[in-house]
Amino acid sequence: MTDLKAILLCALLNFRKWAVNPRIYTLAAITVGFLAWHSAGLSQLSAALEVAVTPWVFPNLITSLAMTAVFCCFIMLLFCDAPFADSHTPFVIIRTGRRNWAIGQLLYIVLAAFVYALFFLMVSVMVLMPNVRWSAEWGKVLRTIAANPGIADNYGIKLTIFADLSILDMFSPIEATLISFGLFCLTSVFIGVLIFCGNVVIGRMGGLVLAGIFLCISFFSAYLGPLTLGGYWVRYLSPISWCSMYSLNWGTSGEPVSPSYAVISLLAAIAFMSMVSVIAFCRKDLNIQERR
Amino acid sequence: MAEYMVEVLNAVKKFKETVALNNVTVRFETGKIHGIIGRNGSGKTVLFKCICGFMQLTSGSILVDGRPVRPGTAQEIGIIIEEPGFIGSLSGYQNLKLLASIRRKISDAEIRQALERVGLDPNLKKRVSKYSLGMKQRLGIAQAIMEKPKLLILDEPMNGLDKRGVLEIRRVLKELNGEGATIILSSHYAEDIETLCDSVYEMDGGVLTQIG
Repeated sequence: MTDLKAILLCALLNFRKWAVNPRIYTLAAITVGFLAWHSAGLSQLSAALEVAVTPWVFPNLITSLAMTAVFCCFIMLLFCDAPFADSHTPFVIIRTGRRNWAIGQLLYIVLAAFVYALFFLMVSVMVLMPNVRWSAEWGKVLRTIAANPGIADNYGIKLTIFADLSILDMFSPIEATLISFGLFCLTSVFIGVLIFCGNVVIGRMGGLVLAGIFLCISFFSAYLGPLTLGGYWVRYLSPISWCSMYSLNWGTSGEPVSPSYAVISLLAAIAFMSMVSVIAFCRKDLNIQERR
Repeated sequence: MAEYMVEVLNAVKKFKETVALNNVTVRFETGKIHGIIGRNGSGKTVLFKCICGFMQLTSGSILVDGRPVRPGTAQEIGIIIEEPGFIGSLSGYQNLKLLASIRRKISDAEIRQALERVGLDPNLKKRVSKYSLGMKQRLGIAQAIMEKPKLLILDEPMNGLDKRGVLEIRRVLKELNGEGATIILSSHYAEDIETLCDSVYEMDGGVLTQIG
């Protein structure tokens, strides 16, 4: 029987384990380090122009394939041990049943993806301090790099963050942030559930290998696919590329994949893999404990 | 209540070429303490995991309290299987409270009572990550017994306990059995089996034989 309270408890138990999980601290540290490095150019440009940056950097963080790969690796690190079974798990499963427990782990993936996206968003603003000022607009710095991407070179600054003027014109900062946040969460959940499903159905590390394959597809779709296959259709098979609004077709970018196609495909894939994971988990031997 | 708390019927469990349970048939009588001895890798833990629904039989069936074991569903069994694991950042009491909140059957006072029963202080604020092996084992036993299940499956429950601890846990198991619990345990200590058990089985190469 499905017990919603038990499912929620199973999900929240994993957050309790964060406090003693070195992997979570490692992920937090490298995320801060990466974002500090990634935003350094923007911060320096802001200081050089003597104009503060607005806090709406998040939609412009993942604009290149290298950044997509980094994002994917971070999410893989967060969910690599899915379905998150350890020596504590039998005590929980005997009380909740496997089905409730497995659904709880899927709920944890959704909640953890949300929490990580929130952390990513907050850190992306914090690393710009003290060169950040509140404004409801995109601000001069982001608009300048969108209109003139080479401006940083004039000051001897290397920029890794780019912006697209058509996106800045089409969306308000808050709209773009919400859309980017949603895509970030959805793609993170996709990667998490993919790892969960692969690890359960194929076996240990199977999910990570699958996530790695999807990462390769995202590279293939951007570089080799258009050259060798004469078209951008490979992008339709590359869900990890859809983590940024810059990789979707908003009518001006020339990208092939529409936002509705991306969202519906991600939701359908997540739902399908979740069902497969729960069914497979309930039928599989639970053999997670290590002998003393 | 069924005459037999656990009935294992023609149970076979294979891992590729390895036969972990070789046509095991055994009936564990309700309200008794049953002991299983055997070398490491003889199949004791696999049998326990199959009874708990953590593993599926290749063929055969297992009934617990007259009902077939279904792996997807929760079971009213108190267990320790191999090394007990807890959330290291919480105290022993907080860990048990969290687990008890799943079934919502017992009060805080009963959680405290279970801790006291195994010789742990319920007011101890120490994190479980700082517990000794013996304290973790006691906490594992407390989580198994706190909801007063009708069936206790204890795989090497005396591991990591000092002599006093072993005596205390033996007394607790006797008390629980006196209150009506059926207990199936495995132990490396022949004394545990001799002192505690009403029936004794030996597992060897996946074959279970009654020896006492």
